[in-house]
Amino acid sequence: MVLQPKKTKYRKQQRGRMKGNETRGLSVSFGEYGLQALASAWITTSQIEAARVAIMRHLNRRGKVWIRIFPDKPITKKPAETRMGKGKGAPETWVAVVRRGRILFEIEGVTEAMAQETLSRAASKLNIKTRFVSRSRMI
Amino acid sequence: MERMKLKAELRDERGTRGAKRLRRKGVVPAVLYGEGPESMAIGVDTKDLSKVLRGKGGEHAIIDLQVEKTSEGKPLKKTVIVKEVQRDHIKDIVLHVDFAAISLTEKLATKVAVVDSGEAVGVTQGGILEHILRELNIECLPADIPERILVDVSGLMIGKSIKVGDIVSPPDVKILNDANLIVFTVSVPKVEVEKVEEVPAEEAAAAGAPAEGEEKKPEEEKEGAKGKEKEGAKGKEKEQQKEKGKEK
Repeated sequence: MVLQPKKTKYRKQQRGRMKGNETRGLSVSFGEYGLQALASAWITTSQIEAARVAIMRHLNRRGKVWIRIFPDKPITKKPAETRMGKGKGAPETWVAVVRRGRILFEIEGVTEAMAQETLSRAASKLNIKTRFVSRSRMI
Repeated sequence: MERMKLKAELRDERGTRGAKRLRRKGVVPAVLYGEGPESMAIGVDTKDLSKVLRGKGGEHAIIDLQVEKTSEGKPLKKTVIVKEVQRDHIKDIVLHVDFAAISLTEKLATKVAVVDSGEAVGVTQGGILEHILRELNIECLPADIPERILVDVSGLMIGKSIKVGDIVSPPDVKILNDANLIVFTVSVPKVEVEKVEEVPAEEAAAAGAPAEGEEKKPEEEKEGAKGKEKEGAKGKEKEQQKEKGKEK
């Protein structure tokens, strides 16, 4: 299950910047527990898939999972040992632009301890620091 | 529902910088409006507010708010509900609270949490209990607002659901949500079939020996033998060519 858009208007995008914190997708909206990003980064489709597989294997058909991010940004790369110039490289992979605060995954239907362990396994597959959050968390 | 008490002070500091100064002092900026002539900028102690919001009613609690000194110099007491809470989801702090003054004799529309009780039959059979609607919109007198609405899910089978219309509301409480909305359902877990990575033909050939449990068919063996013979013939030809080259 490779996460990538079915169709895009343009094949290549500029890199952009990741300033500031996330303003949307900050709270646990679907499940009971979630994994929140504590840094900004590009998360690739393979990292998301690895985290998803880690969650699914540990849950072992228990609980329900939501993936709250989607890799919709194409990343290009020039071939190895190529001289500079001659235009932008070919699309290589897809990434999700994640800013600080974004909820990445959500889980429901398992105990808190189980959810914590599951999401920590998923976190180990990602390239950013994350934390476990629950719907009932308050100040 | 048990009524909570909260003390507040009139707030002079306004704007972003003023609000930040207050937060550093341990005061959460807030506003009080409704049931009165004007709105009032107030500040509440962070710890006290935390206790109220973590209390039984949560964000839907009825609060006796006491402003110690208004602009007229008199203390003010109001019965309020929390209308909105602004949060910093990264620092996990409350940034601002809206308090709305209410009348105890008038009905009001508010939200209340729905909580499941018991273990669904479907869950014991391997299903997943999905909690789809977590809050219900209700209308009642402030004194009748329940802390939460308990829903017994113990009889829920796989594929079955509990809708808003199935929930028995407490007396004097009217549920405003559409009766057809699903609150709880027990679904069958999705079985994920993991794809076995296909090994390229060259790598498989390099591996040589067949995998366990596999037996070569006689035809394949014959073809294999033919291939070996061919390879052998080619090798001989090459050797002969090399020898000729040396002689030259």
